Amino acid sequence: MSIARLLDPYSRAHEVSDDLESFFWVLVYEVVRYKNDKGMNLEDSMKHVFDWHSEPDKAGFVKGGDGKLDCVAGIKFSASIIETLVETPCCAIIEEMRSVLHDLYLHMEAVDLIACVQSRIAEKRKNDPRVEQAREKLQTSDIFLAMFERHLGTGWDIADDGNLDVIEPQADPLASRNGGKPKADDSGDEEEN
Amino acid sequence: MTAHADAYNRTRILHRDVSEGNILITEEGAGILIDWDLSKKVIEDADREPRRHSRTVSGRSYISRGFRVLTELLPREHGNSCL
Repeated sequence: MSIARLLDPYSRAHEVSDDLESFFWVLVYEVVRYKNDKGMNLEDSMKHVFDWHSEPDKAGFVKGGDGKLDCVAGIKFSASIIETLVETPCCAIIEEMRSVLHDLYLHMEAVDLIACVQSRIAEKRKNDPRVEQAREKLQTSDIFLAMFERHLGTGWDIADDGNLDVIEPQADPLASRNGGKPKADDSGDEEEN
Repeated sequence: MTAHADAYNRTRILHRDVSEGNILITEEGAGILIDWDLSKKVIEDADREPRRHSRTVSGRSYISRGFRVLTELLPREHGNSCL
């Protein structure tokens, strides 16, 4: 889910850029979860990036996105970590996607801000041409598709890239609803996360 | 991502729920974007209006059912790559 939607789902309608951003999060998630064959401890970062949410405000609204802002800023799952996890062009794709999202969310904060800070941020974003350029780039899927096209053209071997899952399976709250049946053992067509 | 772009470019329908669990990978390594239940037709002029009070949906159940069929059946039969 995009940072914009996590911060405020009501400020505007869902846009192409939100879905494109979701593809970036899928890719990052898959890499940090399944490509961690060096055994780095990334669980805290994963929780921060993918699960962070605020306490409910007075109206009961809960925000997300702080951890994802840290990720697009390169603070969480920095380029050094990503390139340690994936040596294939996948790493380059992530960094190229990240650089567009970095610009899209420049100057933004997820914490609850007083009005004068909000207007300062709005002013900075308005005056920073990179924000509008990133927004333009994400009006269509073309830029992201071109990134994949370019890098897949380099002969990236996807046949067997040795994925593994190092996170211990945890009790799934949904499992009880399904009678605790382990999923995807015989269906053969489910990708389980 | 290709399936997503095709749906949007041809019909202005956005998936709106792209996530790990909604991308299947075939044995051949092709991706399939599934679960279009939350998909919605983008209404161009009203696009940037705040939606706190109005949630405009255009033919949602019909469209999402149609796309379920398209995305869940067609790619498997024809091996379309979606990611």
